Amino acid sequence: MARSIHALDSFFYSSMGIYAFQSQCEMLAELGYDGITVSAWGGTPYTDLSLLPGVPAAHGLKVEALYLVLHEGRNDTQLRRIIETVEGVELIELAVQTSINGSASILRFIESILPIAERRGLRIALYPHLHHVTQTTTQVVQICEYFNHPRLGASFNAYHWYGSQEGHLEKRLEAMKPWLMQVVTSGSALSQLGWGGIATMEPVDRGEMDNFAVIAALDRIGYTGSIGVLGWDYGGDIYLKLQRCLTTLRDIDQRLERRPAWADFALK
Amino acid sequence: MNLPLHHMDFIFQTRLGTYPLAAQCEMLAETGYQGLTMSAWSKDLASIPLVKANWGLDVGAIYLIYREGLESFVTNIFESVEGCTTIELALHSGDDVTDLDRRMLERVLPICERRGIHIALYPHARYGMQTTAQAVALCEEFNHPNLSIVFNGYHWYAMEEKALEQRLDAVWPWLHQVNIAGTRRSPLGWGGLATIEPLDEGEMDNFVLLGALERRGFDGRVGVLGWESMGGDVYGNLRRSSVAFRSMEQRLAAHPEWSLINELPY
Repeated sequence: MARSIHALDSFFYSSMGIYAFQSQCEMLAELGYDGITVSAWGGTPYTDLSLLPGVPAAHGLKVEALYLVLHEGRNDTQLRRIIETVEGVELIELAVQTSINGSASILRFIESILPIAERRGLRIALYPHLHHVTQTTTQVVQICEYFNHPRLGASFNAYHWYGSQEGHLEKRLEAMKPWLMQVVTSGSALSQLGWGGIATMEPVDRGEMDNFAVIAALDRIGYTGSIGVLGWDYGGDIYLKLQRCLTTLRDIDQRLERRPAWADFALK
Repeated sequence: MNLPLHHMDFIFQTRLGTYPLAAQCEMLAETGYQGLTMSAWSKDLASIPLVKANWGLDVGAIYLIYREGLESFVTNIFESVEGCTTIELALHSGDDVTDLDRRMLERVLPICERRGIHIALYPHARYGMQTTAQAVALCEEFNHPNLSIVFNGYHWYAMEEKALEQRLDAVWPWLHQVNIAGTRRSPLGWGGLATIEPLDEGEMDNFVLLGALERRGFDGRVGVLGWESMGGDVYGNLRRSSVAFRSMEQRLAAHPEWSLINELPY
């Protein structure tokens, strides 16, 4: 089973700066990653989005998703404009960080982008994020159920699931299954010194959260899409961190194939 | 690049004890290092002249700290060292660089001239001289051919001096050598500031630092910092740092442009 594995471009941000997009793609291609998720943040991307359509031909990488952050009442128009115009990517991952006018307005924003998604052949995956308005898988599943729209789904981010201490992995994944469009993971340990005072973000071979068990649980619900590596906050010599993560995820895949029984235990 | 890679001997001084010199040198040679920096408190200073013949390693420098009251100790090291011509000197006589530091330099620089020794000022977080800016100011003040600076990536990062390109430009006329470490800002790290880890760990991007040095034509030696907080298997940590360093060098040779990163806009 050769599962697709991609990296989030947040890998390439550190306290020392941001790697050029060309370098990002060259490193990922050289290491054997299948794709990259590009961030446009709240509407001011550090990557020139007009480069996205050229990525597959130039680097053999798929642009897995474009990551957007909604500050409802502040950047609705900017995000809508990006969704209207972006080329070279089919999946939009949408985090909802803040809101001026409350949940009805957030829902109105989502409603307003669904016709654009239909017309342009895009999918929107809601992205639960700690310290954001939508921070649990439960919250984003509720929004998916409310709209019940084929173009609207959810991302499962193992880091944010773990950090939120929602628990009940099997149950949460079952609830997400009808809507699941993307998966992202990270190494992580609950710690006040970690991101947001909640949990560390580390390469996937580190931390307390067992990525072997997480990926086995994703296999059990039949997830066959790409797995993304978070990358934020690791910094360091990026190339070697990327290499470690890819090696670990490939190793987990091979172990699951060779020894499926090792993942056959009741999760808390 | 293929620069000579050294390691500071602190890595061999753990809470459990200090490895004997023979074990230190055998490990360094086996894990791909070309030399070491010996701390002034080492019991092995007298053996420095034997290191090259026995293990093929250079003792690139002695690491020495000046504090008030240590004048005789410091002077004695300068007068007596054999087999090593560089002294990395940290200055900690007060909260800032003080006249005591200046008097110390005035006292040892003539010894340096006479004995062919170079001083590489070593900015050290939480010491009187803790930034590259302070070290550059001292070099400008003395303007002495035997006085230079070791750029220590760890302390630059821990002190949050930032502006890497500008700091390297300022240090460049005086730059003698470079020290690096894997590091992440953390209250659990050294001095409550930043961790000291093998080169494949931490948040600081040493690939970017090495690229910036390469662009300036740096061809000196690079020393790796190690300290108790690194913990664990010393040999394993030495090997990890050496593998990571050579990997960074090879990547820099193949893709020098990768190390040209954009400044953070925030």
